[in-house]
Amino acid sequence: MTILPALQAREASRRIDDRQVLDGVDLDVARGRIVALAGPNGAGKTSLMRAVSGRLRLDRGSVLIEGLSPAEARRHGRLGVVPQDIALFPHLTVRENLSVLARLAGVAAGAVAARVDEGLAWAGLADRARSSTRTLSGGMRRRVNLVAGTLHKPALLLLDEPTVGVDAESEARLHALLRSLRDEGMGLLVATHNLDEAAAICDDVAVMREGRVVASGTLEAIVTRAFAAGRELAISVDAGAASAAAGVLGREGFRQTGAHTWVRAAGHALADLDDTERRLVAAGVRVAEARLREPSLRGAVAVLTGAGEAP
Amino acid sequence: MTRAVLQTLALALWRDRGALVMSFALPVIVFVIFAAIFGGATGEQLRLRVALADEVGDDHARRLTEALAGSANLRLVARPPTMAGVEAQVASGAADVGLVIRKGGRALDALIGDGPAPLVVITHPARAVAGALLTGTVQRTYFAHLPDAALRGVVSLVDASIVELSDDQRAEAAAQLDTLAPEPGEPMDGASGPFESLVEERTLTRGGAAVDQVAYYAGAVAALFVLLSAVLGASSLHDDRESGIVDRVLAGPGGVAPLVDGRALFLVIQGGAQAALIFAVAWLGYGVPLPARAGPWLVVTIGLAVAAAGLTLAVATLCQTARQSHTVSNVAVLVVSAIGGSMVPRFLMPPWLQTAGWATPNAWAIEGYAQALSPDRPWQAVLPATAVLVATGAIGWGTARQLARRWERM
Repeated sequence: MTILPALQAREASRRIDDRQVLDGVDLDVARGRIVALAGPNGAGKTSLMRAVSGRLRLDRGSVLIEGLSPAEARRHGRLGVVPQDIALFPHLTVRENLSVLARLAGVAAGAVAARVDEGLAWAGLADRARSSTRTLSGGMRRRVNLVAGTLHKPALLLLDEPTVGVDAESEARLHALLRSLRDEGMGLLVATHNLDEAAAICDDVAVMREGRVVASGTLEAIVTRAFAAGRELAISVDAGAASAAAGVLGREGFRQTGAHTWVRAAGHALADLDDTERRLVAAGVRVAEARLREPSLRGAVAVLTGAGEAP
Repeated sequence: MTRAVLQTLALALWRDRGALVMSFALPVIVFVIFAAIFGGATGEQLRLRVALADEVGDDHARRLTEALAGSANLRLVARPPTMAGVEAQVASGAADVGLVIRKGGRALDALIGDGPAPLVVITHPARAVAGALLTGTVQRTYFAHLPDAALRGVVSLVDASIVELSDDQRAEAAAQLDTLAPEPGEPMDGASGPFESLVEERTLTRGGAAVDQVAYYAGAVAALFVLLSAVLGASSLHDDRESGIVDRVLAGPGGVAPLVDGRALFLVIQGGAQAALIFAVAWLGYGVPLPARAGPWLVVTIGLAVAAAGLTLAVATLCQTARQSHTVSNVAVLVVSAIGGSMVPRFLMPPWLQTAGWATPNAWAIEGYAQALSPDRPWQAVLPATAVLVATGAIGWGTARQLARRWERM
């Protein structure tokens, strides 16, 4: 028996006004895989998530969820969504919230109580079932937010920044929950700017730029695509000197990965590091640190999307 | 720095067209409407709808009728032949007030004498002031247009009481006339002294005028508050949008429709409960006959609650944000409540506003409750008003469902 992928997007395209928000996107999310959707703001991540959930009409191409159109997938309860905001009713308790949202997700009335109990136990929230969601910590609210999207056991779960604003311990618990969903056979598509998170939990990464998927595959494949067999040359500049340095670094082929950090592909030779640092200092860049290191996903995404490239 | 803040706020207001309309256009519109309502209630635009029966048909009666028909303050909307017909017109609300030139009463040129007054003003207790207004207009018209009858009445008075006046009689007449003048500070029983006997005022009532007035205002207040409360519930749709609940729900099988439908049902139940509470107080505190007329009352209440739910949801889905929805809906509720008679009885408004009032749920709800709580009306009498309310609500509900669907797809 053929197992249909949780998500299969082919040539998905949409133009809004004078902007091509999706431009021939091809993307697969297999059952039992976590795929990170990475890219700068305006790359098309939100548009793709909307298209997958059936809220953005395509001009061309298709999106299939377990072989079903988004509308059919919604009707059959094969799609789940975990929004970035805490999408809960603030005046209800945790159990009341989950019960209402389970019904709205299409869980049969007779099965709601059992699913809610199961979800509470899974997320470690059974002892807070009667608490108002307003009294929960940020991490707990994130967990309730996650449980609410999975009560109907969808084939594909769309998550938008699922751990934003939580502490490290809560983030680790959420990551464990996402892995357990993957292990149960669910496909997860995670839109995120947190590339450390993507590197920690995702099996595959799709990098978007200007409405296109410019690279996709495993973490290793993405890093190899960006850096070949080389290493990552990272330059940190003094605080306050970033804007002055941006032009020079861009012309040198560096891409910005943080407020004061730029990277580019480099060879293994330390001479390359020394030469580059010397040139930058000569050009007036106040270099705080220059390192030749193992390539990171953050660096790979910056290189592939041309983040901070010179105009 | 202060100037920078001033500049920021001015630019923000200028670039937010919605806020601009709310701040400057809406107050003017609302002022014009309220000025028309309250100005009409006290000014020259007031035109009472009058049902008039001439049971006598003599020359004086015909002349009085013609003069009243030409009065700027009155509109003769019905000419039933008898007092019973006038009472029916007033009871049903087709006329604000009724006037009967009574058969069996004194002649119009007999100011005093035996027998009942020649004119009867029929008033509904919910529109008591209309009776006083009509009485005043009739007396003014009588003396202006039938001076011969009035003077003949005076002559007959003199003829009956004071003939061939001697000095003593003149002195006695002067003394008699002096007795007619009230002492300073002495209260007057009527507004017209001896001429009061020209007009008799009757009030249509079963449970007492006060009870009927309370029933009227219970309906008026219920309509206002059912609408106001529905605004809050309907606008919370935007809270669901902003919190991401709509995004989550849209991944489910029902789309956004359950959020609209669930709210609509809640608002119907909430509105019903509110109206029940208001009328329960009217029943327990003032004797409004709620238990005896519970069936028709319930029918109208459901109609009102459906209309409030549908209309407020339609406005909420038409708006882009919760704030916009709150503001627009609250202003709209205040305006329709003013026009529809929840603040001032509609018969006190200019005719064009009275007509416009039929476009509001308040007017139909007040009309429906008036029919529902009249013991002599069949229960079917509430159906026209209820049908309008339910149809309005259904159209609003359907519109809200359609408008909410635009949140589903881009």
